[in-house]
Amino acid sequence: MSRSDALRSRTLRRIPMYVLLSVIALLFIGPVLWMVSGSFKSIGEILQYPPKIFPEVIRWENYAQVFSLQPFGRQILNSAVLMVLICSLTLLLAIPAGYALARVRPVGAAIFFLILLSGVFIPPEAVIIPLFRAAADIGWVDTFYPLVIFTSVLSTGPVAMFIMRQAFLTLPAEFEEAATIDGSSRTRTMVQIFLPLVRPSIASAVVFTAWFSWNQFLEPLVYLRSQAMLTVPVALTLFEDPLAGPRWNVQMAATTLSILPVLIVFLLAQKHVVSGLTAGGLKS
Amino acid sequence: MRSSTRVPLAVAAIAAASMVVACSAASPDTSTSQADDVALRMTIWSANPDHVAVFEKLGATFAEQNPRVKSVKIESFNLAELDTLVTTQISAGDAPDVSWLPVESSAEYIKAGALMDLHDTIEATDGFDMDDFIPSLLERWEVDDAVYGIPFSTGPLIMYYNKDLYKQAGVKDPGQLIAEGNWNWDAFRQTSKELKDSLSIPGYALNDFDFKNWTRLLPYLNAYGASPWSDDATKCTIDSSDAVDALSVLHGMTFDDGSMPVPGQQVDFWGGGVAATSAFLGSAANLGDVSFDWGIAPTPAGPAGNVVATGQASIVAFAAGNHTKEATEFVTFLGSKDAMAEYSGFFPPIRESVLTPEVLTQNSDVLTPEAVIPIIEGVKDNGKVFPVTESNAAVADALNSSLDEFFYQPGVDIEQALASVCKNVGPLLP
Amino acid sequence: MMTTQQRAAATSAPGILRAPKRGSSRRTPRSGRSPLHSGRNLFGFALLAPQTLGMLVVGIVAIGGVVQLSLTRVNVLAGTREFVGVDNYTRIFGDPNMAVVLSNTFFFVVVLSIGGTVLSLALALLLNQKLVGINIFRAAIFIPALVTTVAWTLVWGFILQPGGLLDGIVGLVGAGPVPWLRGEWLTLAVFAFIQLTKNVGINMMIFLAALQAVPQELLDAAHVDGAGRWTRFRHVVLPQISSSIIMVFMLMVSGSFKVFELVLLLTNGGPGVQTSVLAFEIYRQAFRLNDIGYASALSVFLFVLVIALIGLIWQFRKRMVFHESE
Repeated sequence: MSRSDALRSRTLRRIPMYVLLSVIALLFIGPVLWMVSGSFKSIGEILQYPPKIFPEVIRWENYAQVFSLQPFGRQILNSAVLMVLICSLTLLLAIPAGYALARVRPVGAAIFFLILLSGVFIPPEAVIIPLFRAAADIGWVDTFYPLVIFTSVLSTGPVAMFIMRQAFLTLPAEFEEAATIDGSSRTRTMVQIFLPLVRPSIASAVVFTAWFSWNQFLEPLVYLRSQAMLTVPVALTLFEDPLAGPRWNVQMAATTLSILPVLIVFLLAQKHVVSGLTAGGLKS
Repeated sequence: MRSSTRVPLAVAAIAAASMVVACSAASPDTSTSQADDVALRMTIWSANPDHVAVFEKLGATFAEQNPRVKSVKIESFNLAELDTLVTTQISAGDAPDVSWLPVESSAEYIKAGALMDLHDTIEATDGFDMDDFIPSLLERWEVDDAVYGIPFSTGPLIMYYNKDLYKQAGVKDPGQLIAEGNWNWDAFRQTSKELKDSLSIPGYALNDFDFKNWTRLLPYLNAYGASPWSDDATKCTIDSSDAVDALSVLHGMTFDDGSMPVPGQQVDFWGGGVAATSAFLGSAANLGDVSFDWGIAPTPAGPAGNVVATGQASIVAFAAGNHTKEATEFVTFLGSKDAMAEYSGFFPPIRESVLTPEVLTQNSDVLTPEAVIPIIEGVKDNGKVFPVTESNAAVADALNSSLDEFFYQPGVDIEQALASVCKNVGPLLP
Repeated sequence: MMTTQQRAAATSAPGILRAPKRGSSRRTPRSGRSPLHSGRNLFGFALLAPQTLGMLVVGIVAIGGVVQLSLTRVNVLAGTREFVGVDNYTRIFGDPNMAVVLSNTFFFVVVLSIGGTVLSLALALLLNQKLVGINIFRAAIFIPALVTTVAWTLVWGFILQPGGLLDGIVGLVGAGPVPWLRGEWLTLAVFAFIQLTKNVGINMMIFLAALQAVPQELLDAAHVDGAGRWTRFRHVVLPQISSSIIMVFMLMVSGSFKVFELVLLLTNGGPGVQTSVLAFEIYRQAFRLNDIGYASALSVFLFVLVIALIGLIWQFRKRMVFHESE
């Protein structure tokens, strides 16, 4: 068989797999595609039954309305900035903590672990009132400070710490031995030897943290006031006319636009995860 | 090695830059209540740039006129989040000074002492002309002499109908029924069923109802002289014979005739999916997008006449605010004739002098003064604002969920169902 | 003589991993680091300090505030607050709706955690192939996680309406319209499905990363030894990714308590409280019914439940590890 023949027959054999994957993917992305098609329709068309897949007229003006009704560009930027800030603070808190719990193991590590992890289990609806009150007292209303700090400490930090701890735990001790023999300081050991080894886990932590911060609704709703400071999930609820009801089509257009930044983060992080580190040891 | 330090540096740089962005947008601290430096905060549930602009302009005018007030800031939020925001903000001692408030919350807030009494400030204002306010429409906000809010939007529920669909079905549309003096629920039920049999689409749907919003049932209840609770809101009356009659029409149309959508079913009048709907006057804005010939009419009459169910929202000053004196003055200012004229193009006003066909239709691309004349008369003569109770949130919640559980089901005994509803709702009334 | 990589691979094999791992890290420090013993502690504390400090400050404000509120009866609008001791807590146990709410909550916890973990692992395995365009499929499954709940729910609400898309599909095989959102187990199942399809993508990504970190040598070695696909999976892959499994599982458990957004937007807990969950009750009590005191008591209750559950899982994990070190 020639090479192209071999390739072709292998691809042909893969067809059932492609079909299976397509069916599964459709289940997930179907609603999203419908939403994208809705972003080009009029409100009446969206709510029509039986549903039409393609709009009669492609209404680009819905997308224009997204920006004329609200400072949406700025709001996407807000969500993105918040995402970067939360990721940064989370990593700054979690990587050292995870490393400490996994490799340095000071006395009482288990207790630290449990306490730090417990933040994740606090229901946000419950604590928003006392936290908001504290934030208001400090004068942090309509700023990003409470969002970044509270989220990183309570919600994303513990998860990232868990991920990092696991990552550091699974590395052999030999590296540490070697480094100590070399005479590096503890900090050098951590930063220059161990850190690069756990890049895929850092990528995982980033993906999770980015997603979490992007999807937050209650906290931005409560802490942020001016339209120019709002984040995307809250802003989406404002595409509503008080008398005529929600502008579904504009909302869908806005949602479609808002997916793009996180998608980019995901694609970038994926490259890190997929490319791996130790050559020959990993599938890609 | 180097690349692994470059990345953290880049992240730190981005983080620093972001911090600058975040800080620069932070609003200045406005909690100082210096006598000549007050910054007021008003919350509204519209993000429509036109609405925001109108109130911003009025706020600026007020700030100019009032030596103590420096500025007025307008903040938008989604009405569904009203309770969340008010609760968290008042708890934190950071309540808005002025806000829109729906009438459903009026009794609760008034009883709790959460609203400032505007009476004295109104008296002290020359030319306010309180008599210009249509008294029957101010009831919910008045307790004896005290006035707790200025209604800024008093919108009736009216009937919209799709003339093309009726013509297509060969059925008399509401306009024709009105012309022949036969505009009542029985006749409308009949024509809706005929239309549904002919075209296989629903004849009538309640807009914004979704079986979760009992106030949309008021056109039925009012027409039969029924009400979910007694006038003093102490007794549940949704199991009265009038209410049973009224709601039997709804139940029959939905589950027996099939001319109204069943729970969970979504139909859209504006897209041509149903022949008629009852919605607020403000929804007329949607008529600009529709592709059919439409008409509007008051809701059908019943044995008790044609009482017009009216929603309402007012502007109030929160007692928990930090600048209650200035807030009260601002609300009074917004209730003055000139101010009201400015926003009445968007929201049906309560001042008789302003409630004219011209004002009501000035911002509308679709409504003509002639078309709204019967609507205005209906509101002035027969307008009845939604009934409210003191623990309205809990009562409405119980009402909605017990209606859902007992009544919005096919094949139930309506009297029994409504009696069960009262069993749930009754204990919550004072 | 093993190469460093082989030794690394060997010591990374899991059941064998845990117990000796602890030993080895104790061994090495003792031999190479005893003079630095207290320095180790200091260093460790220094690393832990930021997060611990943050957690203590924020946590105390948060939890302290909630506990304090739970002991009071607050009327936010009137601005009154009175201390009522444990009244709110006794009310929880006397509330007839609690039984339904709790059973619904546990339904979601169990279904979403187990279902979510299994599903995302299965998907990760399926998508861990070298196939042209595999990234498109991965992205397709991941994107729903990026859509806001409001939009996602709107779309599904439309699909689920009587006579809607789903009824249409079911109708193709001759079944009648189904009361998808009218309560009972069906609506709960529907909610579970909506939530799963939305969030499974994230966990799939985590598993993908874990799967790709499985050293190829171990798999090759097992293959050479004649192990079939399933055996390879069970004895090589599964242990290697066991930590990810635990993590995803715990994430899903704590996340399953968040199903409340769906409840809020689709059924408001109705009919009655048939589709309500604990988190939704908290929200409803706090913000709709203005009863912050009771809501806070419910929150403390929820927090305790979650901690207990997670604690159980953590203990179970330790036992699971011992069994694996054969």
